Amino acid sequence: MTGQACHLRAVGELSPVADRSANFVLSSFTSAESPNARLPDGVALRTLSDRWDGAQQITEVYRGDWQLDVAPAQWNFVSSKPNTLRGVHAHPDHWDYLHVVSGEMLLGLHDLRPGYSTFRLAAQCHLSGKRPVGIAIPPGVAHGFYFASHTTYFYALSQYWTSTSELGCRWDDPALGLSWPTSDPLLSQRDATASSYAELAKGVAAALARGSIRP
Amino acid sequence: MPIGVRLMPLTTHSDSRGDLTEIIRNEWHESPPPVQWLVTRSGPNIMRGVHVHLRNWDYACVVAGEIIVGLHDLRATRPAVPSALVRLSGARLQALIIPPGIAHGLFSPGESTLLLGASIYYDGTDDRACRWDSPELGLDWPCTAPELSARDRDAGTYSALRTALQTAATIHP
Repeated sequence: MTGQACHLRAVGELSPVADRSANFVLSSFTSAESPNARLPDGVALRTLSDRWDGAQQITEVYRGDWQLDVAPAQWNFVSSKPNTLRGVHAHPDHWDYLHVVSGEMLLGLHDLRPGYSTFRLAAQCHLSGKRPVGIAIPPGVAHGFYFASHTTYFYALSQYWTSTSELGCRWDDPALGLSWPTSDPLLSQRDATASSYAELAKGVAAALARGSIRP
Repeated sequence: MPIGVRLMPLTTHSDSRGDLTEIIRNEWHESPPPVQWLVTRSGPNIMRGVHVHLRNWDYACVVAGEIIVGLHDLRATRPAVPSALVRLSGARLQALIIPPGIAHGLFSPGESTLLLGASIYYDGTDDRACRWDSPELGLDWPCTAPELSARDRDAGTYSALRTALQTAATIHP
């Protein structure tokens, strides 16, 4: 399961290819460096609209009638200090839908679902509070978040959070094919002592075989 | 606090990286869960309201700065607790749940960021409004000349709002 994991990597300013009518993107984005970059199957990016009501800026972050496969059971708000890395995690059973409120996140994704056309595809993109987007991440797609500066984000989970609903691996396992702009980030103890990519890939494949991944 | 309004402390889990707060788990509440979320950013001295919903439940959480929320019960003519001011601060996260029929105004003294959940999709038909400084609201706002949207500036009187509510569709808590 190791080696040649990185079929593609794109780090760049996010510039979704939007269908103007729906303003909605499925599995497709471009970046300055990689105009044909792809996202793992089922990852959905939505550019969010800002409007002004008097002197108040209003961003519509989520509507249940958007075409997303996320039915939120809960929402969390997270604040991260500079040089923090959260992950790399993969969920066997739930979707995440996240929105950066302030600051900037470097998002790393890696598809761990055998049998999917984007299996082992890695992708990275910057999400900024200044150009608001929402992004939905399916079960089985590993993800890591890096914050160069103080950043806050708001995210939904399609099932109630439990400590057993997260699998993880070392953020710097080369098999992920993700490049991070740090060699010594702030990590939780759990993330610092996480297992290898190979172990995580095995865990996700087993969950998929059990049918607990329903992307 | 008017009956049915709920102010709930939230638990923030901190570690060396920062912190995480569960804002809502749908199982926490009997009120309908949000189907829509907005993030609103306000500058200093901005007032939004006073508005009241016929059907919508608001779910509000300030995550940066602070907001003073004025609440006034329009569901009965002589409620036990007609009015209250509540201070929400990003320094200690709380969730405020506002049922239909409770008029509310949100005043931001400085820069603030608010997460606002709504239990129905906003389409403009569910809101009624009155002037934020109507004396009948019984709200002792910490401001005298806040910045308002055009709609809030031109809003009608408290008694006009009462009349509008009597003729509108029933409030559905």
